[in-house]
Amino acid sequence: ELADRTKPVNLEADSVTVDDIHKTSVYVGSVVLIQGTMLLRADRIEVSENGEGFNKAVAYGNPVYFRQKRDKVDEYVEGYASRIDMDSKSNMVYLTGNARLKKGEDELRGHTMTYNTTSEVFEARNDPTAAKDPNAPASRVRAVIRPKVKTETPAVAQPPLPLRSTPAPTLVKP
Amino acid sequence: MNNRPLYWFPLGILAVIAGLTFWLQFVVQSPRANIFSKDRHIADYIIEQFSVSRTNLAGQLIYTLHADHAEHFLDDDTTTLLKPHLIAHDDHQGSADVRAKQGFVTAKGKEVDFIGNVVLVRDAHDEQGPLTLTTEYLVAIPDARVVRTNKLVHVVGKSIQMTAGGLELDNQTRILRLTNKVKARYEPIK
Repeated sequence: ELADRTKPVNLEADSVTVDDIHKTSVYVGSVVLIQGTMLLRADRIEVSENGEGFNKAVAYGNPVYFRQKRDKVDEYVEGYASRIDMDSKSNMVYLTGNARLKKGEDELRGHTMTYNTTSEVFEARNDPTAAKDPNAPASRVRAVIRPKVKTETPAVAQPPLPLRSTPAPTLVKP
Repeated sequence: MNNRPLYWFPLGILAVIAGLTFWLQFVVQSPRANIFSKDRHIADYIIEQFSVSRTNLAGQLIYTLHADHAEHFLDDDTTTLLKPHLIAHDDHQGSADVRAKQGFVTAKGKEVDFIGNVVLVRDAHDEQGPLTLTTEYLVAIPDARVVRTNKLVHVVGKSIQMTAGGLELDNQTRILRLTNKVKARYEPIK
């Protein structure tokens, strides 16, 4: 969600090493990062700070798991990759290595992916270096887009007109 | 026969004197009597409003240790402190200021243990501002400029808060390492 940016970033891990000179913190061991609806689960997350505070996070895992709720839609975008970079300023998420993104029923796979959390646009690319290696399998981008089944709205059966039992008009002899 | 008592009398005197000598030697050598013996843990000097400073070879101040009350113990060369306050100076890396309810200095001042309401403020004089650390127990190794604890510790900075079950801070490399269930919270950028 857009509001995630204004939320604090919470992290949990087994240990952290904070380098005060370079303003970096390396969290290691079952690391969980939560910012609003956004969740990141990894083996290791490197956080860099700038003068104001939290700036960027680079997560490494086997794989790293990413999830964030879509704005104004009760649906989540989920992502998996060997490495995920998160830039809170530019609202961009970069997935690298066996990248996979799921939005509802749709799924996209590629070598690298970028996902703009504001515009919800994601872009997938193959691994250009794989083309040079004859033995390596072709690196392709694959998408699975499930047809949105239109839910046929059954003709709403009109409730039967209430039959009022009115007495038949009696024929009066002139 | 009647000179026998004359013969025994001096022997008796000698025996009494010998007994007294042995008793005296026993009393003098028994540990209880030797108040300055090695295994007696008593303060050999006590100082009120204690303050000591350490400089390096160039005469620059490295650290200063104050305390309201200090007691030094001869047998193990340790010192107990009341309300210790250690200030480590470093022009490049910034200062570190540690206070506590009690303190304990090991032999030759190799280690200073801070015990009870320990507050450490580390100020690197940069945009991040000071970092405040609170715990119940902290070991400082002044010469190595390292502090560490294995107790619950809270770290609060300008835009960050952390808790953990253990910590080691190296003031020279400015590396802070937290272990044992680390939780961190970065406040949002305004």
